[in-house]
Amino acid sequence: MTDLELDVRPILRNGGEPFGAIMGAVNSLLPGQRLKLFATFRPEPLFRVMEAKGFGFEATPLADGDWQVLFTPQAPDLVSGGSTPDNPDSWADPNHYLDLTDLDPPEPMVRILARLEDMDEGEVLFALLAREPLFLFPEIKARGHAWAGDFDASGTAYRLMVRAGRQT
Amino acid sequence: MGSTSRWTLAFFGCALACLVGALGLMSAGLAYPHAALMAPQTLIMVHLVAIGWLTLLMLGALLQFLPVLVGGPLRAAGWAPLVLVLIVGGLALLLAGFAAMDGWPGLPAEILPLGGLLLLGGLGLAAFMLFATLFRARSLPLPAGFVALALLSVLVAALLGETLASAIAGLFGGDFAMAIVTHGVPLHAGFGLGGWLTLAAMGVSYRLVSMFLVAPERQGVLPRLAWWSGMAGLAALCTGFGVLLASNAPLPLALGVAALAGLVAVFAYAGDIAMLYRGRRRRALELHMGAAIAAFAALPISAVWLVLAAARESEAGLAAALYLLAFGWLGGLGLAMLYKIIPFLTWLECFAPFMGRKPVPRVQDLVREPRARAWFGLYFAGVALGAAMMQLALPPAVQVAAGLQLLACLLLIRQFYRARLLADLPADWHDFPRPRLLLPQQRSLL
Repeated sequence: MTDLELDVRPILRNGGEPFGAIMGAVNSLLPGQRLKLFATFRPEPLFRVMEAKGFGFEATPLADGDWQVLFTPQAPDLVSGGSTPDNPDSWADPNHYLDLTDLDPPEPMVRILARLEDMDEGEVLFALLAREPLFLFPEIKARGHAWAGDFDASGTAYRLMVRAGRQT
Repeated sequence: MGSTSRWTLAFFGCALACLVGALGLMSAGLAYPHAALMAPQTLIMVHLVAIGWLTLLMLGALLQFLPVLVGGPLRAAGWAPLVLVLIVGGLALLLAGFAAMDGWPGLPAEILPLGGLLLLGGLGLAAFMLFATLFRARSLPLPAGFVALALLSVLVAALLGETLASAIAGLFGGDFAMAIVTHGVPLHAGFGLGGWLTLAAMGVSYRLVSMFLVAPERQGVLPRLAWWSGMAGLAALCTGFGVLLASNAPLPLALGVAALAGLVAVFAYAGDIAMLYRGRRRRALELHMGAAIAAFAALPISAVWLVLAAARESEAGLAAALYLLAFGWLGGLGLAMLYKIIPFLTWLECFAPFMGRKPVPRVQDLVREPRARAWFGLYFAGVALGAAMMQLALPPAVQVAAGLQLLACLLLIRQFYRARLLADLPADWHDFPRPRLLLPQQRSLL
């Protein structure tokens, strides 16, 4: 597969901001396709962004002081070192969804724990609740799962993500 | 964070014992209206209700639910048993002090302020735990604001009570002692029943009612109005207390302002509760929420009754209104919530570890509602009858009403006891190990 090439040097030389163009190019990549980027400097901040998106990189200085960077898509596990329970950013996308806003306690808790029993390690559950499930948290921890949650902007719904731990 | 408070059931147990004691005294005719409103026997009954029953109940509930209100752990949780010991011990000495006033032999008068001191210590410690929990919370929703005001009030009420006790015991004399004994009681009662118990009950119920009814929490003008007018009422009471301290003279205006602010707070709150019931997503009402309606209705009725009786200086009216406030609103709400909270805590204690792994009963399976429904009906009928008979000044009828309440309470306590023993669970669960009745499962005392 040929690399997609993007030269942002003209944008940079005109005093422009190439980030939008770069993201446009990244989003248009075919699965497995690499991105070859030309820039007037070594684009350090971009490396972290692209790492988070699952790309490895290789930066090479060109003769005239410009840089060429080759971004290569990585297999997910190689990039992040696997999802770690204490870092919710590294979790997989949720593949179980529960809307529990209409249930009275302790039913939301029962449903979440029952669902977790059927999940494999590393799978993530997303649940929507009417309030912060304070009695649930110790139970989640005791069973070796990890959770992250907060209220939505309006403060009316609590969003909970639970990453299933190793089943005992 | 969200685990259960280990001492809450011990608080509830002591509280219920005091309720039975107080109703027993009344039905035996050992308090108002047989004795005078300020007679030692009546004071024994009043403090058994206000401190023994209602304060211990509220503290037990707050230890459990304040962390839920603010989303943070209970601070200094290890002090809970000491709080309980101090309050129960202080109450026992206080009641013995009143008995000494009544002429019981062998009891020195100083026992009264000593009991007050222990109570002040216990309540101060409890307020410290709960304030520390509030201060280190991640967020302070409005219900927590009510609890904060209530905690300030309980401290003032206890200080005032201790001052009264010392004056009555003759530890200090002079014009101020005269003034505090003559004019301090309405302030003491206002801070205690209004500031402490009513505001705390409002705060906790805002969250519990929306939780149990699956209704969106109340926001906007009405709950804020309730909070600010509660605050204004307390400020008026504080002003009255300050004037009494400075001039040994009462300030009727302060009591009037407090009464008006209190009425605004009560009606704003009652409006909120009505909206919560109307906006609920669970159509069918469980028994505890059904029984609570009677308690919610008793609040505005007793508030208006109290203000009218105070304006007319009617002793029978004051007694009737306070009776409805204490047994209908505060006590009725307490009994209704216990009917849910005790099974809920028991369920968590017994079945939480099995959730999702094997079938667990529902919380509702721990109780049998039809039986208890009749007892709640009997209880509230007794309260209504008692208040009416007090207003009409018919002592024997008050005794009968108190007896009905006592019977209803004993039958309800039996239901709580059965829930604790898992006795009403379906047959599949009869062999399940039972939790300890009141004390936490643990090795050491603290």
